[in-house]
Amino acid sequence: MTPLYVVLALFAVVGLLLALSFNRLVRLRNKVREAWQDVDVQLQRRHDLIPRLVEVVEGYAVHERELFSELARLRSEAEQASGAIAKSAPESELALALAGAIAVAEGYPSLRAADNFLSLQKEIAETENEVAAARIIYNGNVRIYNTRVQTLPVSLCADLLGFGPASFFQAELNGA
Amino acid sequence: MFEPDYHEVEAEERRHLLRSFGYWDLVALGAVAGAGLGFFYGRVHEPSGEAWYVFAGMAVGALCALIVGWAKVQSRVRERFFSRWAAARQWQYEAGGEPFEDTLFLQSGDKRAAGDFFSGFWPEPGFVLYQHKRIEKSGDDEQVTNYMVLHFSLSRPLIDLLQISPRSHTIELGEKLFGHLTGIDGRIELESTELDEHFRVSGLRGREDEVRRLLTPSAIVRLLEFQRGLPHGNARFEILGSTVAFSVEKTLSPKQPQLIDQLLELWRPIAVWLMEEAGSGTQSPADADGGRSS
Repeated sequence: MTPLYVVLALFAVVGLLLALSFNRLVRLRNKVREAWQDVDVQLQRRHDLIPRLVEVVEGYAVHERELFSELARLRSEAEQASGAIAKSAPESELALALAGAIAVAEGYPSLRAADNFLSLQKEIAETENEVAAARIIYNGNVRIYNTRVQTLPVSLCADLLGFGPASFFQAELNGA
Repeated sequence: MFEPDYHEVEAEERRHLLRSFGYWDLVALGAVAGAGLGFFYGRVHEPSGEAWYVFAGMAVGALCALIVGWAKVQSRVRERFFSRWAAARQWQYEAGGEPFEDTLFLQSGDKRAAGDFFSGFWPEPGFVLYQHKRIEKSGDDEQVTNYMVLHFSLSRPLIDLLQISPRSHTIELGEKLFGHLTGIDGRIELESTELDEHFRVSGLRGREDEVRRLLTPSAIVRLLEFQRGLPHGNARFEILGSTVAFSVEKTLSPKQPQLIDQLLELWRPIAVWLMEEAGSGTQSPADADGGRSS
């Protein structure tokens, strides 16, 4: 009977370790998803600011129509993309175009002094900070999750349990 | 900015003590008192060897007086050094005073003591950095834990209660078992795994949304940056209405005053952020003193 008990005990220990690893992986994966939702919320805030910026600047900078249409195109591309990898490139381009538009707008003294432009400029700066911070948190969560998934002993059963590595969000944010 | 050298201040104080008339009087008095006590002790216990007891008592008495003098030098060196160090930076310094006791953590422990109060290090008034001592009694023993605390009051209440403390599995287990008996809820899980690994965020039960609103991604990143800057500091952040206290488990030594600069540099972005959230600066020092025990 003793060998049977040993085998049963081993199965029980392995089962317990699997259950604990599974729970931990689920928690870490949920954190990655939660952090991505946060990134998404902040990116949406950025997208929502673009029409307001165009509206404010358009009245002063009538010769910048090309810039505005480029901004609208990039915004639409970024909105259509989904997931960290797909969003990286369009969001990066949008961030650079947005920074460029602000720089162009600052070239108009009357616009630079307008209250609504100043408050919008502040809001954009705050949003960019939050986007950058949300990205740092998301990438931090991905790093911890991927390390867990790709290191022993979890890596032996991660695939079996349906846990693959997550993707980083690599957007370049206004020179960040 | 000329900053004093600790060893120079110590040497100066030692010279001052050795030259002072009262010190050698004290040593002589200690020797005489020790000889007298030795004489009486010897007479009672071993009448044939009185002389040895007299000499031994004399030596012990003189040694005690020397030790008292040395301890006095050390305490004066600390005060002198920090006074000059603070003055060189145009800060204010107080060697002693009452501890702040207006947050849950600052109230904890059987007894509390404080020392080395610094202020005037930032342009905004109301910031005080000091050494907080939490004393816990266990039978006849006292265990003292030293914390460096940055205390200030915001211009308006920001949140009823927010505690960000080092993670402790014992506390978490206690909260799970008895948390329902208190108004403080257990952990509030935020989106950052790294933050969860280092800190336990808690607030009032049913008010988690307030905490989540305050701790935006950029606020979380600031907290993580602090943690990376001081990985073994056991950092703690508390907001109770408009009262804010940041603390780390550290002992301030005049031999290493750089600790103050390091802490202020790490705390500054978080303090600025809280002031911005509160809408303006801090309260005046007079108002901020309200939390000190009397």
